[in-house]
Amino acid sequence: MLNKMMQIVMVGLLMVGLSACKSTTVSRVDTDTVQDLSGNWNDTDSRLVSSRMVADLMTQSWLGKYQVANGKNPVVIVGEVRNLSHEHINTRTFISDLEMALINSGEVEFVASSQERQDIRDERADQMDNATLATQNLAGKELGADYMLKGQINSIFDAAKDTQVKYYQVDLTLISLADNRKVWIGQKKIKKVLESGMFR
Amino acid sequence: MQNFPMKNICLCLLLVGFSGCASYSNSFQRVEFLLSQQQPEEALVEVEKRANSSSDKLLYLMDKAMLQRMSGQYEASNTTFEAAKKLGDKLTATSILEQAGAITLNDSIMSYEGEDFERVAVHMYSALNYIALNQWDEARVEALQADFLLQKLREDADKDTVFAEDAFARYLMGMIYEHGQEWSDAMISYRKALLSYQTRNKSEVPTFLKYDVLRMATRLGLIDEVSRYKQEFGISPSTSDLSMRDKGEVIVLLHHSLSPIKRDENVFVLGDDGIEHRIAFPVFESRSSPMAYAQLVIGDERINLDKVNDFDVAARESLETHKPAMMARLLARAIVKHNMAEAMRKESGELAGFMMNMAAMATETADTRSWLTLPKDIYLARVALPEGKYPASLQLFGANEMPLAILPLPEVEVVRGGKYVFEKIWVKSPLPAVVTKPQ
Repeated sequence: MLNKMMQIVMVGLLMVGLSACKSTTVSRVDTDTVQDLSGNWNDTDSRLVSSRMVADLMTQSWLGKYQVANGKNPVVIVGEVRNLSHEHINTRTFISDLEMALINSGEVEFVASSQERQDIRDERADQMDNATLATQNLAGKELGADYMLKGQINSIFDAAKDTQVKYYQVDLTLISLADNRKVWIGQKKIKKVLESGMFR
Repeated sequence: MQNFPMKNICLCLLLVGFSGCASYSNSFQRVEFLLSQQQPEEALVEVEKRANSSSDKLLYLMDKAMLQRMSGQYEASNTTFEAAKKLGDKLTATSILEQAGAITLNDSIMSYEGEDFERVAVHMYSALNYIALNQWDEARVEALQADFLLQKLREDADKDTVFAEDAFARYLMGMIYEHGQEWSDAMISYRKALLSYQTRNKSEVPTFLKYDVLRMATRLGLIDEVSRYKQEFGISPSTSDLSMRDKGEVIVLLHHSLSPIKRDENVFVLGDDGIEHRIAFPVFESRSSPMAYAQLVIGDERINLDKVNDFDVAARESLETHKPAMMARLLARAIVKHNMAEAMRKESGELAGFMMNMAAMATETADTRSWLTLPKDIYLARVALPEGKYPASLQLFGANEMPLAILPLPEVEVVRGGKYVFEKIWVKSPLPAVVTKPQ
């Protein structure tokens, strides 16, 4: 009987060994050419999507038209990017990725967001009281934006048994502040397939 | 006796050591007391002492998140809920090691995976946290996740699960979509909520839901549906009544009492081997509460709160679905333990067999774990009001209209299109009421 119990112990040990093969593997399905990413929306997605979309934005006709008509670069502001997806996505990092990609392109001027502007105005008001006359920055010299970039992140999730498909779609729209015209619409899709293990 | 091997004693001691001490539900008393004294912060401290238990980790996270939200720490609560969700997903995979433990020791050795209704409740309460923080888009994320989870549960529901729809979760989703002006999504969610309430019990359809589906159907121009609902509910509100154009909404939720608690019950079952085996089976014990109904008093209006969710029933139904599988597992374990004791008795004498039996008895405890900081049920009132300032309170009544408690609400300043969500928690003291002797 004790021998039998030794066998049980052996089986138990084998099970411990087996239980080590818990894993979630991620393979990706292609909609365009997208690099490999992990399961959830992450910083890589954020960077990837923002840089690709800005690259597309910069090659479209609205930019050339504006530069020819006005003889200067357009001034752009990034508005709200709504998260309408299945995951809690920090849209602020996405927005800052967008801003970075836009500024680094060198083709557009960029103005601060409304929150940031308020901070700057407070600081300017403070300068009026405290800074020397020569170093004061006066109010009323702000640069108005020509276009606002707005957008949203949507998702469709599907699952059966241990397989899960995650599909994200990011839509961005560039709207002219002068006449509400939409001058550019960009879209980026990401599709991922997740396989989760049966055992842990 | 003289050849009583040392390793047998070790084995017995090991078994006893594994079984732990008090069952999960017994250690909850202090938390319950603190909650009834309206001291969720203290209860949180109490629960945080259990942070190290690995198999109860999910329960710990859910309890912690719940107490954090009761203490008004909504952001921290959401962080904890996120951790709970992540762990819950991981635990859906089967652990062979734990299964083996459950067969030889007791069910408590398995990681608590959470019942289906509890997993949905995580999303609901997380959504309510985001609403409290006025982050409706984030609440919408929770709504989508809850929808996704319900969809998955329904797909897996081929076997014995009854839980495939959650009326209140659907209602909350509808409310969130409506706030985001996603009318058709809101309509679909309200419709599902309505259907789910109706399949349970026709009289259980909350009054406000009737008006909500009518309002949404009217807005979407679903004329047939509008007339059908009017006839079905026997109400015919005017279009201006349904219009929210010049109004704001006040929504009050009451999380009443606490969810039922599992107790150990010994049952004797006849096994295939012809021997009666003692098995420890969990049974639910409801919390008694003197509250019969609650009213929202706002301005000059008195509105009855409707019961929108019943965790007491959900918990019982959930246990019921596990019963056959659990019974089989418990019986198999009893037989294994019995055989081990028999073998030991034959091999090493009566004492060894006796000790093994004692060890088997000591380790045989029911799995009494469940999410205990959930309320017994949730009551809700939803009212549309013209712009203005309204003093508000929540009044609780016992049997025979006896006033039980008045829970103050902040004065509401209703603005057009505004949504004001308030939550209150009420737990009756588990201590017997002090009776003053007549002089």
